[in-house]
Amino acid sequence: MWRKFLVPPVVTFLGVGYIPVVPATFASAASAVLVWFLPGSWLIYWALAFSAAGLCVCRSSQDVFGSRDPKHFVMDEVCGMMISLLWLPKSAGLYLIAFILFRILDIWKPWPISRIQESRHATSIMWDDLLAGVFANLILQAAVRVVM
Amino acid sequence: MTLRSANSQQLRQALLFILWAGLALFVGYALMGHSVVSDAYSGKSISFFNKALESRGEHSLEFYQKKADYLIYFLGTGWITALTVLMRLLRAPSAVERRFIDSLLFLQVASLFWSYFLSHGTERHWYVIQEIMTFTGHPPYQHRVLFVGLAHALRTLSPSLTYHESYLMSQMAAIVLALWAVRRLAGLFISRDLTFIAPCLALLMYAPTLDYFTFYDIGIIFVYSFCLYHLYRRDFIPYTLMFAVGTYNHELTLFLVVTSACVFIGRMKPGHLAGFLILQLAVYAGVRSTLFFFLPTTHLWDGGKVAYNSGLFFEHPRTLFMNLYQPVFWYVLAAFGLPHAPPALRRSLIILPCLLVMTFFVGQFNESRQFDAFIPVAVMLMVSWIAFRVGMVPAERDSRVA
Repeated sequence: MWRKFLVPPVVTFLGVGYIPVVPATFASAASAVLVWFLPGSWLIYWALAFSAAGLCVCRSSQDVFGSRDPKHFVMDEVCGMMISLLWLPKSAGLYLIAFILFRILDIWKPWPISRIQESRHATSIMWDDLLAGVFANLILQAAVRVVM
Repeated sequence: MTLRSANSQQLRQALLFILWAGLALFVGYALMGHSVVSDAYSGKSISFFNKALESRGEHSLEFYQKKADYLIYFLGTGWITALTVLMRLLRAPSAVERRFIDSLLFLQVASLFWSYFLSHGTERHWYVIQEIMTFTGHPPYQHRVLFVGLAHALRTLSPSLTYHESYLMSQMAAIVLALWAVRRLAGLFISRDLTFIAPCLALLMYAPTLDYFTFYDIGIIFVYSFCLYHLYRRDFIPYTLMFAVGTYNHELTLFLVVTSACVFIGRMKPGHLAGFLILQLAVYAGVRSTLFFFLPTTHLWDGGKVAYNSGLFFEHPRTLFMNLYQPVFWYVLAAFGLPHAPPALRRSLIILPCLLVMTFFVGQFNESRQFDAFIPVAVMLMVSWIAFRVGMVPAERDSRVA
């Protein structure tokens, strides 16, 4: 019973997932805004803590929302966005590029992200976005180094 | 083949060509872009470049170098766009395309490792690169010669290289080897599609341990990953060869003897196991003897470490915490993989207590780099956990891991 009260606020990122239009995009944007105000050196721990929380409630959220890939579940986008911003300089332009790149990767799911989506495991709804975040971060790190 | 799929195939090939050409251009520009501009500015380059800078009298050299940088940024943006479009087409790539993406990911992680190494590493007075390369360094550093030898080989090939430059090039090789070995080892525990995660994790674990430049730290990750891979697969010849070579990098390979004993005890005939352990000890003794013969030393390590470490525990616990919380954090994450790891990997945990004991007696607990040898095992535990969680454990894992 407790799941019904505890799981939704977590997986919908305090209700962002209930936004009727493109909730994942709103969640990614909210995550980028949150990251902007977090101290950079601790972001890795925040990202890992959020990811751990998301991974722990994957199965419960499937039960609560009655779907294999609940559309209100946006914790994956929140964590993926955090990962894509790890160790990047704080710049509004860069955050915007990271946001767009992460959304492209999350929607298009290139290989090997697409391989994870094929998995039937409950936590695969989180892992594909976490990997998209890793990909976005790797691309941005390269871009930042070329430019700087 | 339909017209549509034929077009898609051509587009893929064109994009792949653009990506490789772009990569070659960026690497070339990073290595010698500014010197080419400088030569063209003074009219010493090829006629095409000399002509491109015809109006050289009007502007300074810096102006042209900046212009070249902007051109590269512009091309870089196009390159990333091409990469993104390619990704759209690569939801189900062919084998060649997979290898391409895999190589690209590997190169990217290696270059990140390299840039982190350059920006955070520093030379300290107790480990002066020139002294180490002239074998006049402080004990016990002078016996860790594997990558010193590589740096010397590079200086023989190109005598104009300084000690520092040859050191950096040797470490570039060490980084590539270490990440390659970690990725190969990960292939035993997770589907090949996701092995790129392992070098990323190795970089994350190594990064906080980087304090000062040494020839051997990254080499330890390479030697341990390589040896564990062959140990788990029971390929004893490559294992023993690397064990010998790795002992020239660092005396820590002794703990591989302990690890192999733990991995195979009860799973190999006692006579065979005893023979294997004796062989390793003989190889270790042989390698160390050659080092003592050619590079004699009065003592193996600095004394007073027990008192120093005790002082850290009792008088400076905050310093100790600040230096060790990051590796401990990763070890906690690695512990999640324990229930999903094959027995051989679980038994390899013995490396950690060995390193703790060694550090207490002859190392320093305020240096988290003392535990670099444990990075491959910790990474593989995390990889095992991810593989289980994603449902991508290799089907043949248990038959391939001893």
